[in-house]
Amino acid sequence: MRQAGSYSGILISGKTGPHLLPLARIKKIMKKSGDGVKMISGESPIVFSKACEMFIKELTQRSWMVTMQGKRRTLNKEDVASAVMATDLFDFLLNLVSEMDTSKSS
Amino acid sequence: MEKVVSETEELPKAIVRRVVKEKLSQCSPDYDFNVHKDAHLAFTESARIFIHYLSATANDICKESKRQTMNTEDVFKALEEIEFSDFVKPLRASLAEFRKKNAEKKGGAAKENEAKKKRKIEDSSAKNGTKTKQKKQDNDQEEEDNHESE
Repeated sequence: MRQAGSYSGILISGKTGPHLLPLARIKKIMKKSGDGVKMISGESPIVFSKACEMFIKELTQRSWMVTMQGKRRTLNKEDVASAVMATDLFDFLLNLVSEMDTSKSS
Repeated sequence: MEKVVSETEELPKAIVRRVVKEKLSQCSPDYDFNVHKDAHLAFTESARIFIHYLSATANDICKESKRQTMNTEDVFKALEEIEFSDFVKPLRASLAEFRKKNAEKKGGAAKENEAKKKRKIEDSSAKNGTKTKQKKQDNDQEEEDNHESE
């Protein structure tokens, strides 16, 4: 399935280049990150885009390992939560996990 | 209660889904996998938080250097700081590749522009009139497009 949206950014129209995620959207998220994230070099969103992709892959892999340990073939959000809790690197996601837990009990 | 985040503040779900599926097809070459909708939401949200986290860290590093504009070095340092140093090498390689491609494209476009300008000058010195005006408009449009690509 092709993504129809426009990829604003640095590359000349037609090619998405080495990044998948739309640069404008990334910039928006960055600017909401807290005090003073105002000016960003043109290339930074590109690094962010790729870093984000790598992060998602890392989280996916670890979550899938939990799924397989449970001898299942469907990755569910509890697997993601378990992967987060089992990995120090993902400590910054612990808030999200506790929010997910809350929605589970509702 | 789920936090409501507007669509424009989130990463496109379809793209996150694609990245997840690509990774899973690597982990499970027989394509015997499924992903629950809630898990996709979790991935999307996690990615957004990752950007926030990395951004804030890079911004702090930038401020410490007394600069206004966050640059890629700040981002690389931030990755080290949040213990994602494994990402740095492949990211540097990716950035270098992008810079190379972009430089090639700019070089090509600049040459084309120069050739067109030359032709325009030759044409306008040969004749005056609406035809020249049309060519100028086309050229201006092209210049605008090139500016956008920067």
